[in-house]
Amino acid sequence: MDINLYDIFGTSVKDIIKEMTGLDIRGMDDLEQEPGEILSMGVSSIITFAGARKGRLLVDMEPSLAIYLANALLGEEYDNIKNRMVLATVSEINNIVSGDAITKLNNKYSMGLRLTPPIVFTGQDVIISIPKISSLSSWGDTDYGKIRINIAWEGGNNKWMLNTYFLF
Amino acid sequence: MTDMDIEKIADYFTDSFRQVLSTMAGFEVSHIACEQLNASNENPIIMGAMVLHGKKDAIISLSMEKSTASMIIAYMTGILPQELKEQDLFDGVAELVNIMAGEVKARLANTPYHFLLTSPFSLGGTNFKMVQKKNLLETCRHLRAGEMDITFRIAYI
Amino acid sequence: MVKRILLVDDSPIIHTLLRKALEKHGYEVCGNAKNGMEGIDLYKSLKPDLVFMDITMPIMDGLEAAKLIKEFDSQAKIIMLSAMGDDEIVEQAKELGIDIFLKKPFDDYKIISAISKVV
Repeated sequence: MDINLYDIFGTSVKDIIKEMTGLDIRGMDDLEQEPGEILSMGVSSIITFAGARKGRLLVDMEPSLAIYLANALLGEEYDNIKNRMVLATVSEINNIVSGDAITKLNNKYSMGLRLTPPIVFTGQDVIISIPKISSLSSWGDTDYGKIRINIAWEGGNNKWMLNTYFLF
Repeated sequence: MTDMDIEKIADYFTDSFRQVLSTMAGFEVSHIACEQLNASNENPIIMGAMVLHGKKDAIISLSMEKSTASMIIAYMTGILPQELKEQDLFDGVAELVNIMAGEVKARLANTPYHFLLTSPFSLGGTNFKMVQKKNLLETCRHLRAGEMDITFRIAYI
Repeated sequence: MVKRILLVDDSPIIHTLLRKALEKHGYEVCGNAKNGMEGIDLYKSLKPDLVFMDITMPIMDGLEAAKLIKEFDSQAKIIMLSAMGDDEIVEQAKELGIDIFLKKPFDDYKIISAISKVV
């Protein structure tokens, strides 16, 4: 497996957010290994995919950015991160980003991957922990707040996944 | 998938949880009526979760206060609660979910509801809210071990 | 006569965006379904001119719902609108007689041009 399995998500998130809301994401060019747990910046969404391999994408962003994206997309003036439509926007963006990336991977590697619907959550100092799977994060910045994506594939054997276990 | 099916599957998970806690921690778990608890909570919560890949995908979650997780993991591992690190609690709750899902996977093999496991994960925080789509086929179980309350949920997504 | 369109998608965001785009261009959204099962029921009762159908949804997915709608009404006009769009899924949709397959995200132009090709 190659690094395309990871950086394709960075490309998709930048392209999709630009296309849907016109917002530019700066950075998101490098991938860094994450420790076992991730401290959420405010609102996060997880989507998993399974087929020839299993993996998942976490999209994490500052509340100000989530609110901006919802307002830009829907033409509304939401101001509360717990508003259902703000959280649904983050969820749908994750769904479309993952769909775009997975479509490309399926066509390129015949991986037969399928998505599950996303889960989205928000709270104070929320920690996300995914034991036994090492993951890579990529950071971006916008005029309205920071965004991070974190990608993990199970059963990888490349140099970024030295600590990965086969779980089942 | 009917309401009756999901209730039966939820019972399989409950049985598994009961068995794991009895075997590994020596706790007796009782099952009380599931209250429609609000996911928001003023106390720190730890939630272990896993997405199950089947003909219809599902998500299961096991949530409890951090102090409860600490007590359960302490009994399971033999490490004193005060010596457990936060990461141990996250790992432990995710592992509980992993064990339960593994057992139920075996029970549902060769049925229309068979599924594949994915990586369990845990979430922790205060006053946090997890949102899924509306109108899902879902159910929950409220479990009690001594003074400790644990909520199990399953939703077909 | 105003064309009547049924939306089947589990995302409230997609319902909102599609409704805005369609109403702006003179179409009527006659029904909103959150999963394939609801979509079939609404199709039977509303008899819309066109359906926008997502694929990944709870209870019943869009491919199965499209198949059942086509069995009920072989003339049904269905546009699939999905985040996924790999060759295998597009092929499955084609085999079901789906009129057009669109990949999310979308803008008004993409939606309106697709409709004009179908109805």
